[in-house]
Amino acid sequence: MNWIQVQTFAEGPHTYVGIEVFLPQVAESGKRYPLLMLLHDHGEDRTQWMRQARLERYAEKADVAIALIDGNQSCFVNSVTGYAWGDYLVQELPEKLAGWFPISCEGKDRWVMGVGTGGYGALMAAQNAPDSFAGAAAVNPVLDVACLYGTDIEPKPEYLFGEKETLDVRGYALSTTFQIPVHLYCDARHEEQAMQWARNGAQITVEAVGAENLLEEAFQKYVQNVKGGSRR
Amino acid sequence: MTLMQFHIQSKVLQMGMDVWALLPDQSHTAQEPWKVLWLLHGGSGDQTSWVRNTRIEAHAGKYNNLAVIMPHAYHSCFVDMAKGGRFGEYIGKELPQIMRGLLPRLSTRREDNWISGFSNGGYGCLYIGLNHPETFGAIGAYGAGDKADADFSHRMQEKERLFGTGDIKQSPYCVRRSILELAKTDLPKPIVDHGCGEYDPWRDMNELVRDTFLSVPGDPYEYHFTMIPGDGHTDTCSDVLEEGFIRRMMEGEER
Repeated sequence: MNWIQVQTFAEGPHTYVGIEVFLPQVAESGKRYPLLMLLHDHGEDRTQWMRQARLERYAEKADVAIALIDGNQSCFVNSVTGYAWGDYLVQELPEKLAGWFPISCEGKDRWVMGVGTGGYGALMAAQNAPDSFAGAAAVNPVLDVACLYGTDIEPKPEYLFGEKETLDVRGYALSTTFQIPVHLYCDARHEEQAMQWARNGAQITVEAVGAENLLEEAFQKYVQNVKGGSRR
Repeated sequence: MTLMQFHIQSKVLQMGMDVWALLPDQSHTAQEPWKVLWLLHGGSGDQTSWVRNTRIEAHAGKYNNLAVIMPHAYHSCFVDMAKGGRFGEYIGKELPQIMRGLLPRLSTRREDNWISGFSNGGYGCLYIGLNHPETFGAIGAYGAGDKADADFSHRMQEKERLFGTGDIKQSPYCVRRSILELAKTDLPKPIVDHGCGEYDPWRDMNELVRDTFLSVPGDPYEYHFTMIPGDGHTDTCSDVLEEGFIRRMMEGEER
């Protein structure tokens, strides 16, 4: 596939950010591809997915565009300190990508998938901006960010979400009712908790994956859901 | 501006190739196609050279509708090598097709596509621009002499792998021949901007090219030559000349 590394100024986060983009060999002019956005885990960066999974192998067959996004340990949500990584993810970046590349600008042609805290970010995006996506997936997601408080995680969750007591009120708590389909891929350690969480939810499926090749296995399964795009 | 690093596949060269691009920061409401500057590196350069050694981003970034594409062409002099890859065809024909597919905002009008470079890139943009007048509406050739006028007596192996064993002056690699031949056809002629530093070691070769352009009746190339006083074959010289070319093409300004 064509691999493009982008450095661009992002308004929400007030900084230049990097994006890794993979585009199919463009066969027809006027064609716009559906897009799968990939979100990294805490402690990682946008290159995590491409290093831990053979993305092109499956994306090429599926004939879809892929974008690997940096969230700078923001969990891909707007921080209480004014870094709007959530707005960047759900609106600013998709618009930019569709403006530069032959990628569809419509929510019905866009999917988001994340791992760990990136999984939380993908689920939050699906919850807060259901019109911006056709579906979301999360691999071993962090389902309740309250568990991050009191650990030695950097940055402190207070600087991102505010006080633990007000998580709900500030909108950082995940509900289990979704308006678009949401897929969880969990290894043995995380499956139980995910199934509990999904029990009374809407539009959630939980699927087991192996721990050894976690990202690749989940990606291979999920990318088959990514469809759409348009021809002129 | 937004900087993109492309890794693409060339079928002509059968290689993965690197290309850098500087793109305007978008206004989401503007939809006009971007003008495109295809910018070629010098002899020991690559896709990163212009960005690292000049202020190209500042010059191009003044406008909101100019894109700069900077391909890597290794040591090919941007030609279809006699004993090697067809880099001229890659840059002149295949690359625009690939990049237009990946970046639909790039204008496809010849008036909006300009090819430019310094040193080997200056020769290269003349070679490619004169061979593909249907694609490029302007050439900005700086620190640029004709390889047919160069002395290869101590570099015969290099000369042969690039240009073959015969007299370069009798070959398609001779740009001073191409200048005159294209002028005789009905094909559209590119605007040509040319220049070098006062102390360029190859100033005499630049002047031969200049004189050939000046000899074409009717000035179909709208030819302009700039001599930069006090400078030579340097990054600063290439920077000043490139800034001038961009201004001429973007603002229609005569220098």
